[in-house]
Amino acid sequence: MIKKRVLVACGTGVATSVAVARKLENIFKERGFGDLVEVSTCTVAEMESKASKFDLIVTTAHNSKPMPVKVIMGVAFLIGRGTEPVLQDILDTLGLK
Amino acid sequence: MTSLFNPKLMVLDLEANTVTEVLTRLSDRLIAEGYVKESFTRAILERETEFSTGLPGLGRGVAIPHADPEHVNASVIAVGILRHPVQFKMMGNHDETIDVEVVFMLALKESHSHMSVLQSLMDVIQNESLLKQIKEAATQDTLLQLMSANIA
Repeated sequence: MIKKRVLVACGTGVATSVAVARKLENIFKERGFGDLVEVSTCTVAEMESKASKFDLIVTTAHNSKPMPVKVIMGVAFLIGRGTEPVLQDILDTLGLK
Repeated sequence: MTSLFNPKLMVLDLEANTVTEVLTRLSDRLIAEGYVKESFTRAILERETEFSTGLPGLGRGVAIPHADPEHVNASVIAVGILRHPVQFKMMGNHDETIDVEVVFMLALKESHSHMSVLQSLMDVIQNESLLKQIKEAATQDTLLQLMSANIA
């Protein structure tokens, strides 16, 4: 079974991307998708070159470059408010219910 | 495990009017205490300009400036309580500004060993009463205790 792959990016690749990645992993597990999704992290600089290997990019840094996959802003997960619509967008994009 | 907090890096009543002033004051402290290289200041300022770190915490604005690990000697988190709010641009949306009152400057040597720290920092940001206690901390020791108790 091919897992869905999510790439979480931030400016430095060491702080917010990691925090959001872990948050997403927990949410996926809670919703029963734990085995279906793989989450990785990277810097915004690496994002472009890695994008094609993923099904979705979630980022905490603003991005204006066109990417081969959908880019969703993940700052809501740091703030803890307004996460539901973002999560729906993520699940829809990955084809998960 | 060495603590990520040092009372000397708890700055209460930080007087500053701009983002640059806020970040430089905290970075200078980190350099003076040996936690980061001198290149850290420029890295933090550049990073904040390119990828802002202002966040609407619950009840008050916060910022979590940080820079590449190459500028860090030893991991630590400096905390600055601003005397009056300073406008930072919001993370992920530079059109929005946040009136920041509490700054958590992260000097982290590598990401994966600080996962739980980052997670608990997020919880702090989302905790209105805790943010209020942090903002109103009267002494460096009080602030140290608040941070150590809630971030691990």
